[in-house]
Amino acid sequence: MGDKLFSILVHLSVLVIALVFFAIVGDVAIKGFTAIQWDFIFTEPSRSGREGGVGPILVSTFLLLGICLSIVISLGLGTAIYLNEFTFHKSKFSKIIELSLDILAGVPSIVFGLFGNVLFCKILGLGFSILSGGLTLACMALPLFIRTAQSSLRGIPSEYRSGSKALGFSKATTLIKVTLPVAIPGIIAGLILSIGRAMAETAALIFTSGYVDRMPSSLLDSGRALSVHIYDLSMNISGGDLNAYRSAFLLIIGLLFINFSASTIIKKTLRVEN
Amino acid sequence: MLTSKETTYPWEKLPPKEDCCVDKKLIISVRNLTVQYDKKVALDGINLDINQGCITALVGPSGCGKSTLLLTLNRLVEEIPSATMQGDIQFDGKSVLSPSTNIRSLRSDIGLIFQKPNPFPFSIKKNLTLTLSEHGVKDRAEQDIIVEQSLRSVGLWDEVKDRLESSALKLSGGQQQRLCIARAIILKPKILLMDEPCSALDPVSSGIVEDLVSNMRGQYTIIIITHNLAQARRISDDMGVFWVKNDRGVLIEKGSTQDIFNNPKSEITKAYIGGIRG
Repeated sequence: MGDKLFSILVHLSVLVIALVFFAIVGDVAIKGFTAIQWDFIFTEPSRSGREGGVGPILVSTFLLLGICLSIVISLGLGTAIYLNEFTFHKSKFSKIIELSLDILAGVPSIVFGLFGNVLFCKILGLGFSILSGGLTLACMALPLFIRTAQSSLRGIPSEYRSGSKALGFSKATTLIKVTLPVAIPGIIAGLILSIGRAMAETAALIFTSGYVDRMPSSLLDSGRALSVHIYDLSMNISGGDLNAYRSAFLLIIGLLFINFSASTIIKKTLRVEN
Repeated sequence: MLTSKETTYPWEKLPPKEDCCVDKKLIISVRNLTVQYDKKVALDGINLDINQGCITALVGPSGCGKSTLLLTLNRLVEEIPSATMQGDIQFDGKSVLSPSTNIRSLRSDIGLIFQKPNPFPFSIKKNLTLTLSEHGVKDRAEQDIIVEQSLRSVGLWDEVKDRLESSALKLSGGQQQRLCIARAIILKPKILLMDEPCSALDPVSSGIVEDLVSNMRGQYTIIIITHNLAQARRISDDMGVFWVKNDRGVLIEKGSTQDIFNNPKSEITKAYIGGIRG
């Protein structure tokens, strides 16, 4: 009896989750897919986005992501490696860093936005720009990425490291040729989560990269991200709903594409490695 | 003892046991070696000589410092932050513990086989070629030849020659352990340290690995830890018996395996090999 009830509850919760997911995606897909055409992706928005496409906005979004990812991968991977491979058994210093990362991972994005606005836009004088926005996104995505990369490094059996050292490999060789290749699937998973968080971000960007919908001419130009565009169309522009749906549809397609390609990479690596 | 009769391994053509280890030339001498982890004394004042080309078995109960001794011989013990060492180890006329020792060449001279087979989660071939490349053999054709040689010398070639690109983790435990031995001997070591290489394996694999170890006598100097006294008796020429005294790991008896089994000097050894203690 108890088992049956438990099984019904478990199935029910899965059903609810699946329903919510399909309701959201379905709604966006049905309304966004209707009348979407290729030139929507390439043309400039007109009449505040009510008409035209999202060309410049896609370019800004990719530039923001590019800046964010290059910082996240380099700094984040470095920190994760330091925390896992270079500090012995939970030193006080690494404990402090880990605690701050956990707190930062839970800080609301609007706080990051205001912080980025003060530091990058004002103090460093970058103004409302794609550079400021990308750097702010990086600050936001770093804690999550570092923690996932770190746990994937920690999950690697210590036998591989000791085996490598017993063969006379240096610390660097052990890391680059043995540890990192084994940890790659987990690190990519962390990267997807970070990309997802960055692509979906609105609040932090409004304060840093601004919402000019022109084609950006440099990284120091202001640029509007896709998520900001959706927010603006649906909240501030009357009659922008249709294009908001189309943009949301594109955003979801983009996220699904990233997820799919990353999981393919993971599966491929796993098949070769294991 | 179980052996595989299906394949003729190349090592079976090696000269028999008695011929290899006769002239008793020292290759390692350990003097007054004390190793500590923080306050805990894992090894206390160890003196031990290792004869070239012979198999030396280290026996004794768990926690008496046998593994620590192996890890100290190739200085892997330094990876444990709390470890400190005193005393002297001479290998080939050089001091192992001296700060100027080249760790990389030391570890290729003194290979280590772990209790649990630990091939890298790459292909069978990459386990070997990675090791070769890191030690300067980068030519593909040359690598292929050495890979075949080393796999042949551990009797693995016929079993894996058609699937060199498949993952090493798909091999059985015994095959993995032989791959690890191949990976160590690919660096042409003088000494192989083995930390209970058979204990994580099933009886058949264990028998095959034991035969392999036994037949490598003469080609390599082997120091093997084993909890299996019958195995120590079967394969080793010399023996060291370790014990825990006052919470410190000590060497209570050393000598030829025959002497120790036939005529143990210490009462503890007598009880240990008689199966009464340990």
